[in-house]
Amino acid sequence: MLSFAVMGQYTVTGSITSEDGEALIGVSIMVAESTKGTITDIDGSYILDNLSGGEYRLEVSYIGYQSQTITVSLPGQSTYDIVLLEDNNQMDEVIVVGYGVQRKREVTGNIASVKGARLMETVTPSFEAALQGQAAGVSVIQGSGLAGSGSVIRIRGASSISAGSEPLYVIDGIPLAVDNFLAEANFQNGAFNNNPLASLNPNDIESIEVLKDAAAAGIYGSRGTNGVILITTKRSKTNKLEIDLSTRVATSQAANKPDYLNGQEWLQLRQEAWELDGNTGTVWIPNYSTENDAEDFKRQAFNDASQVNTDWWDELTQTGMKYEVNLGARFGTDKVKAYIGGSYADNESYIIGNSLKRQNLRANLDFALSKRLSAKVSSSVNHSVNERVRTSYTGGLGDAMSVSLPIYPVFNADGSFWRGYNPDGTIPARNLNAPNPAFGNENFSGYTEDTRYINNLSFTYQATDRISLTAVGGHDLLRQNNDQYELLQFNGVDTLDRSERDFRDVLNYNANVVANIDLSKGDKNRLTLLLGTEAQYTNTSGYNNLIHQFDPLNRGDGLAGGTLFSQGSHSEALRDTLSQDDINNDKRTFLSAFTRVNYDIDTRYNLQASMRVDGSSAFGPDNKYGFFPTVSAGWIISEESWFGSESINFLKLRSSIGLLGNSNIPPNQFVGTINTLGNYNGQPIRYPARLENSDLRWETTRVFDMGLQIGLLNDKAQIELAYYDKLTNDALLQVALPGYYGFGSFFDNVAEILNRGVEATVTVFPVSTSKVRWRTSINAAYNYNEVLDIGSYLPDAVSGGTNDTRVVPGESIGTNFLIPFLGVDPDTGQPIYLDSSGEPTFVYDEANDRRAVGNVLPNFTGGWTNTLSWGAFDLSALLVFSQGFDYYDSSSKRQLAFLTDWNVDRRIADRWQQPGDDSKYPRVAIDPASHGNTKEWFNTDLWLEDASYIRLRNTSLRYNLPVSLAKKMGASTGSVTIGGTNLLTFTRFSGLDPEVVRDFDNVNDRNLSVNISYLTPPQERSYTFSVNLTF
Amino acid sequence: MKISTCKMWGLLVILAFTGVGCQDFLATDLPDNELSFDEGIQTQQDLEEMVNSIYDVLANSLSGQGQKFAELLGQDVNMVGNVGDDVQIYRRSTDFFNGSSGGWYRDPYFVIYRANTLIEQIDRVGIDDVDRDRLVGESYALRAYAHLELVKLFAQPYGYTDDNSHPGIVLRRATFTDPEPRSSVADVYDLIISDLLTARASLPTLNPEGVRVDGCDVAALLARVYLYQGQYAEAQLWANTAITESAKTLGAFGTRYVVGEQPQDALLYIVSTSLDDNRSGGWRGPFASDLGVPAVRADFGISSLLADQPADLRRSTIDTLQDAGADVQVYTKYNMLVFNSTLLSLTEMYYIEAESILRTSGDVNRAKELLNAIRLRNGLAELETNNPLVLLNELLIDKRKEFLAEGINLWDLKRRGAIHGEDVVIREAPWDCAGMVLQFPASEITVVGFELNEEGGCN
Repeated sequence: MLSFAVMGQYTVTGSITSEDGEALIGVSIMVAESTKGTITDIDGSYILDNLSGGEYRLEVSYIGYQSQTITVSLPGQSTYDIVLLEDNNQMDEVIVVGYGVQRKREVTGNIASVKGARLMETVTPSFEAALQGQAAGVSVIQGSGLAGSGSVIRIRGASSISAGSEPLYVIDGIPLAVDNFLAEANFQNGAFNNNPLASLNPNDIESIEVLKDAAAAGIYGSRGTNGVILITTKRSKTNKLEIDLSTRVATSQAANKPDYLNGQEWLQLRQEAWELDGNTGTVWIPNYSTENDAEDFKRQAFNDASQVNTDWWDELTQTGMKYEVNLGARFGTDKVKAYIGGSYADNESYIIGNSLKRQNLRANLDFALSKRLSAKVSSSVNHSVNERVRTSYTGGLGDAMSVSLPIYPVFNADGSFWRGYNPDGTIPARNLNAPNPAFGNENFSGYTEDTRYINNLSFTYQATDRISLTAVGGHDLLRQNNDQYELLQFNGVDTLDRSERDFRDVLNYNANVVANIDLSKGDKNRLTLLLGTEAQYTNTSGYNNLIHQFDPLNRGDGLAGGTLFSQGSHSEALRDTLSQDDINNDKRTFLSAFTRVNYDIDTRYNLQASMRVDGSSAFGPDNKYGFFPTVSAGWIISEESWFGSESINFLKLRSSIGLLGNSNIPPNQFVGTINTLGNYNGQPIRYPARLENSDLRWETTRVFDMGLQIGLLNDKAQIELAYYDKLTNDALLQVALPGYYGFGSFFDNVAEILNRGVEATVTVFPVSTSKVRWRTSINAAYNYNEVLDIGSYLPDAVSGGTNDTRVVPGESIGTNFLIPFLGVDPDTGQPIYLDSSGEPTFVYDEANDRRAVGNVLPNFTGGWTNTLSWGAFDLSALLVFSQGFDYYDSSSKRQLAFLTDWNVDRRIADRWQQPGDDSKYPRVAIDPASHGNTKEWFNTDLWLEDASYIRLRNTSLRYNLPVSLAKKMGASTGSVTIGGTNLLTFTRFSGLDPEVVRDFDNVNDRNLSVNISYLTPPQERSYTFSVNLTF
Repeated sequence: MKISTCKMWGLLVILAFTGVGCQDFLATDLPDNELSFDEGIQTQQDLEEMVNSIYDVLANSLSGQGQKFAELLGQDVNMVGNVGDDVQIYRRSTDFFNGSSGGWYRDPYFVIYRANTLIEQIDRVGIDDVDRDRLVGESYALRAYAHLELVKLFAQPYGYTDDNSHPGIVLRRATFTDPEPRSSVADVYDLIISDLLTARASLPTLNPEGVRVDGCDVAALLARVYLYQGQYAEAQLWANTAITESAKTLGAFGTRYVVGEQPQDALLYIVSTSLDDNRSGGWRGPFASDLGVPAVRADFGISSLLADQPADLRRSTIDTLQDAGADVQVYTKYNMLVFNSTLLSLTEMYYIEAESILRTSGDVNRAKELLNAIRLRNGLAELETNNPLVLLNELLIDKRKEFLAEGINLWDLKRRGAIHGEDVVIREAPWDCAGMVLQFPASEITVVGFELNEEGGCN
């Protein structure tokens, strides 16, 4: 292109519309190879002025439409009206890659890209959950219905056991610190793992790129094994002021309600169990009578209990309301461009008292400091308050699902809370401790408050046309308070009211310097080199048990006690300092150097090699550094001259192989230590705290990937296929040592794990007319996972926490290790188990008879998105599916067949009652001996069930306001949307919800024990109404 | 365009600078409360703190926790319901997932590991011989104590087989060894006695504080061990030695568990300084009855046993409460919020010496004198008889009353079954049924070759 400057100033004007004639707003019109340009206004009009005479090439581009270039000769024609055609071709998109951007067609790695707007369509407790079904190979297992609940995300399977398997989250180039186990204990957190992502604002997100294979994630070397999620936040691209306002109102209801026996049914069943156990007379009833009571008393208690029928679920749940307002402004000058965004959200869950309130502020600024120097600031403040409730084993709704029986009234006749049967009022109140979650709600409150600052400053110096240098500094600070307040009545033992705070500071610094060098020669080939170094420092510090106990009549600070505190009222000044426990200052550092070379030959052949050397403080002197190389290649076959297919307009073959690593274990595990925490009798103590393992080193995963990208019928149909093979060596195990070693556990490189799978994504535009446009996209992934080796250890050496999963060679990670349940003896109703030799037995023998009987990791996952645009309406629906996994409902063992003091699921109808019965569940029993056991825990595969499901995750109907109507509202564009989340589920699973994961004990548990529940609140179902306006 | 050499060098310099000092940046940076192993053991003070940590574990594991198991297996408690870890133990059907016993099992091995660490590391610290001997002596004594507590609960008693070749526990004589099988009970007792004799030779006779082991305490432990073995001559010798060397008296009634002071007849005891350093929770949790009916109650037979002698002050150790309309018997010994608790008492030595005398046809008057001293302390009249069999019978009954809910009586019952061949039945189960021994936790079968205990057989 040439331009010839002559005397005089000229103007080019016009309008830009779609094929339908709709004015397109914000279309970019740039003068090629200059910084001069403009965008269209609300009428789709543009003015490009101050042009000298000459010939120009104007590049017209707009997201979702094919770019056009027109040649303008000035003086001459001055008006150009342009019709943009919708663009189905995603290959020319520029996408974010590690430490840079690339055109998608040139990318040799496997990267999935998800637009931020798509994430906002689904109501989820936290933004990462909305990735479900959006990208092939990205498995998202949703948490629970609790506000702020986190998900378990696995990219191409699980390849770690005791090291974290979470992907690396990188926001605007800064790796985030993501620790799901920050809080002191799940118990204090209401059986709810910490979710450090919950405080982030999904509306800030422009796009998310998921780096899946070695070519894509290799540049992150030691932290790429589990994939990388690159989050890019919104920025301003123009000088024009543009304001986006969006609001959303949504409801929250439980996706499913448990179906328990009512009070009378429960009593009858207990009597049945009592008699089947060989007893006579009236059964004793928990919190009404005892086994030793006289028959008259037991009968009276039984009769009185039968008058009560409380639905505890209803007592503790509600239709929660969610409100969210987002305001974003883009504006700028030639020197400075800014995006300022703010958000407020108040998200109640369906559990009374449970909510997540979130406030976010973001400023992304871009400075053109000089012709060669530019700077970017990305800064956000995120604050959230999670009002906690007790659930699962900590009480609350967990009690409603277990020990709060329908025969327990909420209140006594005098209005006080019912705590036990006391017909003549002679039993002291302190001896009455029946679980009453309504009482608990009155006397307990808890909050998790996160304040997170994520700041990022970068400078880019364009040293020459071919060399640029970018330096980035990141600061990420998460301050978390976990507060709880208990009135003295709560546990019935303390004589004082009590407040407690645990707090954590997670400080995360990151700096990197990257040089991009263009070494190309000639026009046909392009050779670029990236060189970089990076350093990261992360420290987690804090305290546990900042306790203040006080007289219920006087807090000690002049304020009255005896009432629950609210969030923020914890008084650290009044705390009992002796009760304070420092937690470790867990520090970890990374220092890395990396390079990437891209060689694109004749627009057809794309070669890439990357290398990264990572140093980590996690390992000892002999193993401190790891080397992670990758090579990859792409071949755009359709660009070959001999390729003459009419129907295939794009065909690309790509492949990569490389080494990735994982060092995500607690710091300093290689060094033997002496701990000095604590004292005895007022004297200091010190003791060996950790066994030395100087050989500890990185997990390394060899990743092979091969893929095919196909565009058919001018991209009316697009297909992406991929095959991968990941072999992890030296997988880190936190080995549970025999107790006689005198240590609990230590980390060792022991295991070998295979993940192998295929992925497919098919996107089709079956209808694409001026009036109707239908886009349908389905992605699916199959993953085979196998633990190949765990050295000389036995399955119990790597415990999956309390969920009875183990690591068994030849089986998948997350293998259910249970006693096989053969069936019910039709003569006696007793459960029949299988012993270690496969013979039927009535004896429940965990020591000898447990074996691999199932696995909880799905091997087939995906999503199907349909978007139908018809005039001003857009209808979209996202179906997600997860197939081929077992779901272990750990609470079923107490809710079915074994009748202690728990609620009983109505499925108990299919039980043995008399000789000859052919039933699913054995005869009911109160005494575990009746089922061949000595305790209440029957860990058998009777509670294991295929929970494959298809779920309508999200559906929405959007009405795009006509421009004229929007104008009347003072806006340029606008839309109104109604939608629903989790409206339909198709599954054979007989339990509450096939898609719930409970809280986890530790990293092992998190890796091994997804799709296991224990009184876990189900997902929420939500209806939404939202309004979006752009000014 | 050609990149100038100058610019390339400039680039590399910048990149290089970012990596300056990488060794320091990646250096191990332990938390403030952690030291590397070598740094952590350098001075005598470090060693003293290491010994303190052994007592710290002891205070967490033997202030009611370990003793509770002996009570649950024994004859003097009562539990309702049929679920829960403690109920499983109470029903003599512990399995390897029992969190209560499995969690406790590790604690004595923490004691042993720390004691072994001190024994192995002490010679790299400059320290005079007297202090060296004292610290080594304490380590051997505490190692023996921990092994003894383990073998009592996780193996059939001494005398269960003629040669005591039945499986005991894993012995740990050093910090780092390969996985080991269980040693025989004979070997376990041999090591315990060997360790105690080493400790006895190394320790000063008395440590006035009473919270760290001295030679007198080792004598008391030897008396206890020999009693369990039925070697009464040695038991008498060492009990007498402990009584003689001790500066203690039997003290007043009910002073083995006291708030804020030394238990009066304690040779060795555990300290709880305040609510924030409360080591008495292991007793309070299962037994205390001041804030409601506890999970572990007194067996109804106990109150009738105590009612035989109206003057017996020990009757106050049982109370009657109402639970859901029914009377329940509960213990009152632990109805204090924060208290110190006795591990080795002079009272127990009196019983051991007296019983040993009576079983070896020794000086009956001495035995009677010892037994009467306890009776007088408890408000009872002195016994007049010189009949050793009557005295032995009285002693066994009296000792049971004395140590109700203290985790001691079960071992006497098992000894009577194993050593003396008595037909001992404990809550309708023979003393030697498999379930009278706790099962090892699942952690023990993480390596090949560990032999679990038999289960069941008691009900």
